[in-house]
Amino acid sequence: MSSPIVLVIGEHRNDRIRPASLELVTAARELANLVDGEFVVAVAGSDIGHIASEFANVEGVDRVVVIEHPSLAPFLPGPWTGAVSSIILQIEPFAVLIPSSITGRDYAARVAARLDLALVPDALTLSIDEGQVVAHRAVLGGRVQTAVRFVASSPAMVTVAPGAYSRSVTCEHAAPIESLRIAVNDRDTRATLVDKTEHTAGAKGLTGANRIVSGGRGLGKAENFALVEELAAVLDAAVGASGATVGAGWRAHSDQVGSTGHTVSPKLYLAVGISGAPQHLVGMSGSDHIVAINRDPDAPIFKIASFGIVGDLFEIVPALIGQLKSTVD
Amino acid sequence: MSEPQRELTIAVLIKQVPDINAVVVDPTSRQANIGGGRVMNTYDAYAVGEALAIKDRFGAQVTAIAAGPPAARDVLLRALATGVDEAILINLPNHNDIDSLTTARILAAEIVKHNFDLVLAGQSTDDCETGQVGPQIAETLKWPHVSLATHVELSDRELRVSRDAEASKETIEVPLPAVLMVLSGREESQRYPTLKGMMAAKKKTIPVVEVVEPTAARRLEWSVPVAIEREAEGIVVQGVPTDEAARQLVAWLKEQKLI
Repeated sequence: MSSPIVLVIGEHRNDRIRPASLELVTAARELANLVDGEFVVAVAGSDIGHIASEFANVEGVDRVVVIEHPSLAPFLPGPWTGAVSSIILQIEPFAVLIPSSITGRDYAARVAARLDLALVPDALTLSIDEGQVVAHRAVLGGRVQTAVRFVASSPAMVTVAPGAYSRSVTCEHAAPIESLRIAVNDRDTRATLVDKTEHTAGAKGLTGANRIVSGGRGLGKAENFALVEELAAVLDAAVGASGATVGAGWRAHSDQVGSTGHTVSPKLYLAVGISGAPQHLVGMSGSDHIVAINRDPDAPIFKIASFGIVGDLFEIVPALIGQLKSTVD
Repeated sequence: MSEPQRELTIAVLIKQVPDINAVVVDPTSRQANIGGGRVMNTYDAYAVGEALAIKDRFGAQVTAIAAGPPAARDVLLRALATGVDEAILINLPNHNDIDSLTTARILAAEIVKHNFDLVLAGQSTDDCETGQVGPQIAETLKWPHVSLATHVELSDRELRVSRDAEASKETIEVPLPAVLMVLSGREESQRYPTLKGMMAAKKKTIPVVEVVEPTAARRLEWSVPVAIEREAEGIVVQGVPTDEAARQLVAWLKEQKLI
């Protein structure tokens, strides 16, 4: 029997490998080592030969397969479902790792349904127990984690949460690259992208910012975001928001940090009243320094915070603003 | 169009979930104590609002469907009270013990029976957060889906859907039938139950659909969720006066050369 294959669907955007895909390389290499297996990256899209070459130079990659088809760009879940299903059927992997990005999650669920597979989203760690893949993931707003074991579904299919693994780096080696052919079914091409507008300058300011102050549900109501804005002004920081506050209509979606919003990695990320649901953590856990102010000592945000204050934000933030002002003066 | 247009039929899928804001971690067992509160999933409430907004603008018959234990009737009553026309409960007491694909197939089977044109669901659920059931229903029915929907226009059985993608706003055109996953609760589509609506809802019959319990071998096994042990890496200030806590943070920010 040939050795088991761990397959990663590599993501790229604006002609570059997405950093989260380099984290998947690390996750997949570790998993492949546990089963003495081979690790293959599949790259799909249109005109992506150079992306495949870049992946071939990443440490730990054994083989790269390229799937080019005009229907795969711009991204729509239909053609990608067909393509990724076809890749899985041809490669016959032991495990499939897909980035837990908006696009990754959009097709992964459909692929699982098409191939009759179980899918575990947002895996934080992957391991092998008695030959079976076990994925850890957070539930109930990130308060608790569960271990999910694949017992009768092969290949094991997961999306991997961004930030869960460190990024692999480029090295001297060049893994072999080969092409795969796919056919795209008419039923996968019924949706059409007719317009696309990149987010506004304000939102770009968020992704490139050195300092970000973000507010969460702990603020209680939209008006209390004034506290976050004031703190951000004193620190010369951009303002971000948790998914819960955007969902509640307190802030615009363009302010949202997390899996359905922006991924940011500033020097300083200050989280006010944010408990740290995994959907938020995946968007900011790559920040250099994380400060959290929250009432609940068990809030998951404290797990990744470099400096945390447990207490009432309505007392602490004004005190902090006062002291920062006198420091700056 | 030669054939007369029949009224648009919409199914809006609702899950009853634990109130995650009420979840308390037991300090000894590290397990989550869910408490008694059960609420309509946040994003599903937005889906109800979007369905009713479509009904107002284009005319539609809206049916709310929930799969869950008998108590899930509460969220259907709430949907009826906000203006949904009909409601169906799929009796699935162990709905949290089956995987998302099995749930999707059970819901798809019910959707097929009623010949719906459009299925709306929330982008994700508060408790399990898989966001998989919507796309998996679409796949099972061989329909297209659009996720992260924020606004819907309709003409000639063609939808024009605005969606918030990762770094862009997109407009997607898609023919009916289709599945949409609703992201946001715009002010104008927020709906709240009225007293009059409550009274009317209580008079409606909510049919209960019995399904054959899934017999297929379970594909996944879950361990009991527990709180993650905190790594003692970061500094945590607790139980000190406010000014002192703020002072320590400012000192640390200086030390790290962040200010």
